[in-house]
Amino acid sequence: MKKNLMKKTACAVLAAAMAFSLTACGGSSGDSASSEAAEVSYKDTFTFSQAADIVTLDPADTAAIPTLDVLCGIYDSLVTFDADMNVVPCLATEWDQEDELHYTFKLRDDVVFHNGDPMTAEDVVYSIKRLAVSAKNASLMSALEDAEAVDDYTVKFTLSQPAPTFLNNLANTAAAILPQSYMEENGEDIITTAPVGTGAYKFVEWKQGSSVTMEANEDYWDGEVTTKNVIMKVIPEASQRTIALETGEIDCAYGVQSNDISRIDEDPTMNLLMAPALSTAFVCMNYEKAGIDNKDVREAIRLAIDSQSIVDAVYYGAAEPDNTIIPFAAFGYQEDAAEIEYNPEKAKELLAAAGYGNGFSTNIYTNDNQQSVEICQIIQAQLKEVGIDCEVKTLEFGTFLDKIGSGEHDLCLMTWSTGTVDADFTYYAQFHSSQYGIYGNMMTPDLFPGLDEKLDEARSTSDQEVRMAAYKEVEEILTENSIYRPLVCRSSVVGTTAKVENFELRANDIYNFKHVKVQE
Amino acid sequence: MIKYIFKRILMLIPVLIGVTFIVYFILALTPGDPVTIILGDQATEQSKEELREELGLNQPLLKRYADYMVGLLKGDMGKSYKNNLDVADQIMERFPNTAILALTAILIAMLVGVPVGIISAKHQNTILDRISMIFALTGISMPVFWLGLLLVIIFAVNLRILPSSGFDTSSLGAALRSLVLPGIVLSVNSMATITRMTRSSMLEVMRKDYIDTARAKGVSERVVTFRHMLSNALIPIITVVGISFGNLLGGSIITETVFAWPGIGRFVVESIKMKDTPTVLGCVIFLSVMFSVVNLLIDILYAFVDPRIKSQYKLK
Repeated sequence: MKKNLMKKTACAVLAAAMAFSLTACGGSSGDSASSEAAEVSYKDTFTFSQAADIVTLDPADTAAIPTLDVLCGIYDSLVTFDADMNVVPCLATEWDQEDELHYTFKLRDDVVFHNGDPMTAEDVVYSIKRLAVSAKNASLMSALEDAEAVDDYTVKFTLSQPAPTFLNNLANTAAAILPQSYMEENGEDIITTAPVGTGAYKFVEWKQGSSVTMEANEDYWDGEVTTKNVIMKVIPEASQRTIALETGEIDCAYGVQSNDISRIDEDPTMNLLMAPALSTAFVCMNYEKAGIDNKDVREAIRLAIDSQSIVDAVYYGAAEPDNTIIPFAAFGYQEDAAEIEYNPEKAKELLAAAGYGNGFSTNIYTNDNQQSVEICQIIQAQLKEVGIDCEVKTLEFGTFLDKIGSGEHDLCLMTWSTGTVDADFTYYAQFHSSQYGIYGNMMTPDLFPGLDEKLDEARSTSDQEVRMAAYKEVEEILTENSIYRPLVCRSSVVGTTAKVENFELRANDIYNFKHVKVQE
Repeated sequence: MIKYIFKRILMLIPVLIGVTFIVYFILALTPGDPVTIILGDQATEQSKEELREELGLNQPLLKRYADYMVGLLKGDMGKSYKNNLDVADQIMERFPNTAILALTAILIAMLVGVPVGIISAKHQNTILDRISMIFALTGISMPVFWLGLLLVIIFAVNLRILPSSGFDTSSLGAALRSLVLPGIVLSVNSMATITRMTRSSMLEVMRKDYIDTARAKGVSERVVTFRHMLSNALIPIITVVGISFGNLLGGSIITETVFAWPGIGRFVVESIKMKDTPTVLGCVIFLSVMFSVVNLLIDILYAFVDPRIKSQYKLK
């Protein structure tokens, strides 16, 4: 178990897991075909499985991770994320930011769509403008004012306001580059039945509720696509995915459930890949409630909760304590943020000093997700230790949002994904007073002086140094005032058979299988 | 007969209006905003408002329902909130899978349930009877989820002779192999009901005078059992088979989830979670029609099994 849990940093590289895969090959059994196993030969099909089916083949029409997980094989964007969640070139070779509002991208000149059309600047302009008015992903391009093709392979974007996450948003699979003439000739909806992209794989078939089949794009611009077919199978039950992996029916299982982790890890025919994802869990506090408005009480609550016990009991190790509410892989994460210690004795002292020596009653609201409920039960037990009586209120997601929106809660547990890979998304939503009443944010202007200013400052420039400094100060204000109780940063957990090579995890849960190979 | 069938089909209309009305309002009144569910955390208020507009969700509830029903009369089930795909197409993509599985399950249930019920009745209060009744009781009380995983562990993980999940349609052999485990699991409940119903119905018939008459005539026991007893005991058995089959056609959420079966049951549940009203309504309407049609077929079947009922139909 321990050998795969070594990642303390944001950028968990999979080298160790890959190395482990090589040592594990010898012990495999089951496949009778590999009798003359002298040289390694590879299968022509890679099959992975996830819990949910795709909802659409139009990348701009969804924000659902399971859908983007498949579409990332068919489509490419201008830029993409590397394993450390840095933005790196993809269809664009380079870009230049003239000022806060102007970006110029140089495109590759050797890219063709699956239907044979060359990819040009016109396609980029078409795709990005289409994204900006899409129903479900317009927020990615909310700062976009104009896009124009300077020449065949140069695109210029003009923004209406500084947008520090503009590049990150362009790296989203939803910002895929689509073939303009194909879609104009056949109608936009053609993309939902016969999608054409520039990706490593061409679409073959979607059996709804069951599978998606793709085949290698032989003209792929980024080197040879090594495995001829990729199949995504829908298996809703997590334990069934592990079983299918065990029996070799699939090569790779996404979203391994926590209690299957050790089973996969201990089996030499399977590999466990694990890395911190973009989701965190934290306790929000309602400062309008008596008790919670007292800084010492908030600090006592922070000290009374032990994140490690949540990691062990709820996530079975597939998470790490996080001292901030920002995931490790996102920009703006403060590595040197003050550590939140677990110190129930000190918590009791603080409570006594604040006049709550005999304890007090409070509540924590949560949605009905099983893991969230379990986390709340642990918090409930730990608060009890220091004399705080905490009632857990479990609500369906929609009702949960309504109730915490109207400030009914004292505390609430939030599980949160920093989808833009940038702290702005999370900090702004949680702590800026303009977002009062949404997702547990109970910040009124000047409740904690300086917070709004720093958040605005970090949003107004794309100078990452300035922004990082602003977030450092934000984190200091949070610590100083005992705002919130950050808990954990969840890990993505994927299981593969020991025969799978070149499969790469990504913190945003959109994994890279472009160059995957599976031994016979 | 024709007139009777026509009348039954007409009766579908009030059923459908009632069903759509109830489902529509329950979905509308449960908490949770479909727009928030569709767009997720990242959406801005503006894009939410635009989507609400696009989906017509800012219209009054009754107007939305009326618009929906008008569309339905024109044969338009609308488009899914989730992905803008045609609801009818999506149902037709999944329903055949559910139908195949339901047919397999009901066949298994009948092939096992009827003979076991007959044996049980013929040997009432013997050890054979006890064993088959325990078997039936177990079948009714066993959690489908547990049985499914148990069979998967035995046949897919340990013996490796059957696939653990999915519906592989690449060849007939593969399809049949993937049908075995979900078919058995789905059949168990109906099988137990059919066994019990066959037994009690047979027991009732066995005591009739005409059975004694048949025996006194010197008819062989085989003929007595099948001609005289079973054919008279069939009506309640057919009823149970019909109801079970109708239920199975609605898709079994649990079996479909355990075996990753791309059927309609899982589809409905996923759509309910997304508050995808057009899809849920489409499925409910489709399934109500299927259920009614199966019931109608069962009623017609009665006529072929029982001449007395046939003559009643003629009178109407």
